Amino acid sequence: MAYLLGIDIGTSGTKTVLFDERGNTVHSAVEEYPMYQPHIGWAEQQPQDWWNAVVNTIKEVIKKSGVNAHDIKGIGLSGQMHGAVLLDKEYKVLRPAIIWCDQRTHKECDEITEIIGKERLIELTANPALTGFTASKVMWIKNNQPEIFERIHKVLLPKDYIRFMLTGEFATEVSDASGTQFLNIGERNWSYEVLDKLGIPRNWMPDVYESAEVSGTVSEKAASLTGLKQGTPVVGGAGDQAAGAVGNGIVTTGVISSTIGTSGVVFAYTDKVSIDGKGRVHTFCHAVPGTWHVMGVTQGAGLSLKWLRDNFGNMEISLSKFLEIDPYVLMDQEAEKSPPGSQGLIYLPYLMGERTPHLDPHAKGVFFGLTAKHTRQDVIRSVMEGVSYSLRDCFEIIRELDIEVNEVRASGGGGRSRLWRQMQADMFNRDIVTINSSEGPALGVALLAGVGAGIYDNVPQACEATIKRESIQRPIPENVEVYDKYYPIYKGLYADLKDKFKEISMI
Amino acid sequence: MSFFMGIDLGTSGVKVVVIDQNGQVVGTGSEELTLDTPGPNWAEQHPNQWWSATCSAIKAALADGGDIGNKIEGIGLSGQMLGATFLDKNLDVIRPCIIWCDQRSSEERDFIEESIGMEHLLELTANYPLTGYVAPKILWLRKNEPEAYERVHKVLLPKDYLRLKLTGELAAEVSDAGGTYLFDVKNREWSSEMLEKLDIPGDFLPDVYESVAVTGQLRKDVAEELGLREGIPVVGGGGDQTAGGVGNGVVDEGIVSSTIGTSGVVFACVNKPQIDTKGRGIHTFCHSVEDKWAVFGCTLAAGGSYKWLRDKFSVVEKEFARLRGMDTYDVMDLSAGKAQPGCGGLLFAPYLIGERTPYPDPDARGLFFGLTLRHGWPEIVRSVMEGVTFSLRDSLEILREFGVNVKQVRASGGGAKSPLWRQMQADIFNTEVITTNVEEGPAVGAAIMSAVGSGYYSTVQEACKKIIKPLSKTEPIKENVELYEDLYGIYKSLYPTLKDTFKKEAEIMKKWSL
Repeated sequence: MAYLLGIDIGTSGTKTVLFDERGNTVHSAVEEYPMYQPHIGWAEQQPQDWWNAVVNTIKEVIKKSGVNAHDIKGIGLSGQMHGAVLLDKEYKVLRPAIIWCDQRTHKECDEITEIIGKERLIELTANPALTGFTASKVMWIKNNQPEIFERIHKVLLPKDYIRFMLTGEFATEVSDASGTQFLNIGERNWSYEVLDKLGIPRNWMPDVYESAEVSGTVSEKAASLTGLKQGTPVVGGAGDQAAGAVGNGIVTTGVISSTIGTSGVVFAYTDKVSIDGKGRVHTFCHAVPGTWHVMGVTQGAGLSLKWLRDNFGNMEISLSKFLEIDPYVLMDQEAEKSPPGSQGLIYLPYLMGERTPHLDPHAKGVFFGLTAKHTRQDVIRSVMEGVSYSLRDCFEIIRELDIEVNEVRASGGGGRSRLWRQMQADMFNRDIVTINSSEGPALGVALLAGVGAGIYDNVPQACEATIKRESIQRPIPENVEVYDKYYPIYKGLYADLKDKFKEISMI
Repeated sequence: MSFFMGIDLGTSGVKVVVIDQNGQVVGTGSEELTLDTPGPNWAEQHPNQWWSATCSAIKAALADGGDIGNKIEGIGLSGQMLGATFLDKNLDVIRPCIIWCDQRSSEERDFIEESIGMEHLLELTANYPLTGYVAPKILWLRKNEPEAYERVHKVLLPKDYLRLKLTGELAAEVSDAGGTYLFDVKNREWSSEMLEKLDIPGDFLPDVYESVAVTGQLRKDVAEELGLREGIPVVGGGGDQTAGGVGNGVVDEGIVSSTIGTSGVVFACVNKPQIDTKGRGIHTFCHSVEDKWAVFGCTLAAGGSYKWLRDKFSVVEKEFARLRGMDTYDVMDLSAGKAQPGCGGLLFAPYLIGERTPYPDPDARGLFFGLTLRHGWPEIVRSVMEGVTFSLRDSLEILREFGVNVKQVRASGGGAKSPLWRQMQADIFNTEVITTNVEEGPAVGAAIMSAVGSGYYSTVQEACKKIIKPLSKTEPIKENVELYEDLYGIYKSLYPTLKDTFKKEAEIMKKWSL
């Protein structure tokens, strides 16, 4: 039996999972590390913490599984995207990494937009200038820490720093590189136009690989630290979104995923480059060679229901302790008692502003259409529906880009709710499916490693061999009709209230 | 000692209060009433039930006071407005009274608007036509129950039916008469033009008096039955709004009352008939004080919004209150007190059952606007209180537009019991807010009118000065006033922003029976 190792360098910790070639989890290990917030809106992590966690979890997985390191045929890396790891010419880390959720770079985003031009930037990088992306972080260093900027030799993404530590190679791959804002998405290589205009030396960037290509092998030093066999191939891997999609089987035309975690993501596969000129959805290179993915993001998805649970849900929380049932399950049962459409109550999930489709940090949450007859049941249901409407916004843009959708795969915490899945089936008017694996990104990059190591022919075949459907829910025609009636009202509300959101933010 | 009795014929019950000449309550009694809804949006009550409940409540009040029947020197009537009580020529009731909240006559309302024209209607009646007024109800009867209409000899307002039973006299008074929509509010007399244009015989209507005028004396048989003296004067009294105004001491320009009951009413006394020509749901009626008019605006779900939050969402508070022997509202106030004024930008619009003032729109709906992760339960609770208060300010602003120089707001109703809500009113209105010793506004107001009518006091103002005393006073806090001023600007713009969407949703829900 061959084994594959998937390593996911997340924000709260690193998860390393050993799979067998059928995709079964053999053993997994997690090690957490802190995030530093030296100022409001700043977020940094120490690359050394990641490396320590990677070493420790690999050691643990090999030891506890009892698998011979010789049988581990490939390693895939995944992780948080967008972070900037800066190395000097001795390959030392120059400062803590500024990570994806850091918001300090508003000014730099304006600067980038100014220099490149808004439309041109979207044409090249498929995204408007965003605070999360790597480019604005590098520009912030340029503007605010010139003494560090001067000493930069390489700029790496978080998982690519781990690759360097494992293999000694400077390399990245197309999916994660798409989140730097330095990549020409259509050409799947660095955009020299962007780099040159921003004054970033081209040689700071590592080589770009396809995700399933072998980018290097485990070095002697890394082998002795981790217990891996020297020479084990390490493939490009993928950013957590693309890796998660591979782990979900979103690797062929017609299959998309809808993930309700803290935020919500609708993720679609496409074999032609499709860029939304308005920048409402992100287009990235996918981890399947020669393909792309388009993704819309709802900021306050699971977060909205969590907010409701924590602020309206004292009763459910208390009851859940006595019944030993998750409070979300109780809330589901309550929501189920309210009819589709929540009797006209509509929730806008903009608790943290909104990304898709509005790109508006000032947007706020709203309950619209309250009447005296509305109950807790309606309020809970309306929150789940509001999040689903927002996911539908993402879905509609994906449809506008002419991407075929036949099946939606539900994942994330919200995907565990049968009711919430049904709402999505009804809103999208598509079958909604759950799959057997919940390892997401770690499985995805392990499969990429399997392709790189020659265990599978290609990525779709790897998914076919390992991922199975567990449940299918079909849209209910009457509900589809109800949601089709309310959806235009939902959509109209943001347009109505846009200016008011801004005004209230000013007070 | 001189004692005066006020009778308030409400929708859910009859309340009787007996006060002495200093306003001290010496006896109270009440009796519940039932409401019939024989059709959708229909609402009826039987006058026989009013009368028997009134008799019980009077007896209870006299018993409560300890044999005070022979010391009563005057009786005043107050009650629900807008009801149509049809009597035949024997003065017997023809059919159950169609009461204020009945909505069956909306076609007739539209007919009135179309046939006379809004501008002219305003000139004649001082008010926009409402389905609830008496005139559309008469037209409804003529069309739908012609055999009953044939027998109509008189049409009385609810409290005026009690007068008939008490004194044998047919009479109306100026404040309640405004609710017939057949009344010339400016000149304080029936509008012959309205009657003529709608082809309603003028003799359907009884003579109309000022509120403090004596309209008759207590009949001997009734006096004996109830344990009162024969012949004591019964004054005109007032509709519940103006009688409440008197009970709150809102009898001179500059004093305004803000009542947070199920609905909320901001009520002012003005020296001339101020008329809102913009259709913002403001009522202009004759006040129960001579030469004064009453203008008021209404928030349909005021305390109703807070009650909704209590009944539907405050499960934990209810439990906590039960364990501590507290009122759930007081526990909710504790939650609300933890949030900052302005709730960090969370706004609530209280249009849970549509709205009256300043947006007469049955399709308007409630709203929480501006939610972020910083908002928790305390902000939700507080925002409901603030939203209701912003809505009351909408009414207050229209009164200010009329030139009323608002010097003091008198808080009453259940909402006035909350010190937190009084402070919000002071801050959002930017005026001092006081509460008074009077709890049963309309009943006490009617009793005060009888004290004037029977000659104990010479004017309503004099009586109020003697009887009504401030209990608490709340001054606005400057920083809060400024903050609320900014938030009110946004609050005010939400309805116009969403008006079309309210309508669109209502249409869709109606069309598809959602």
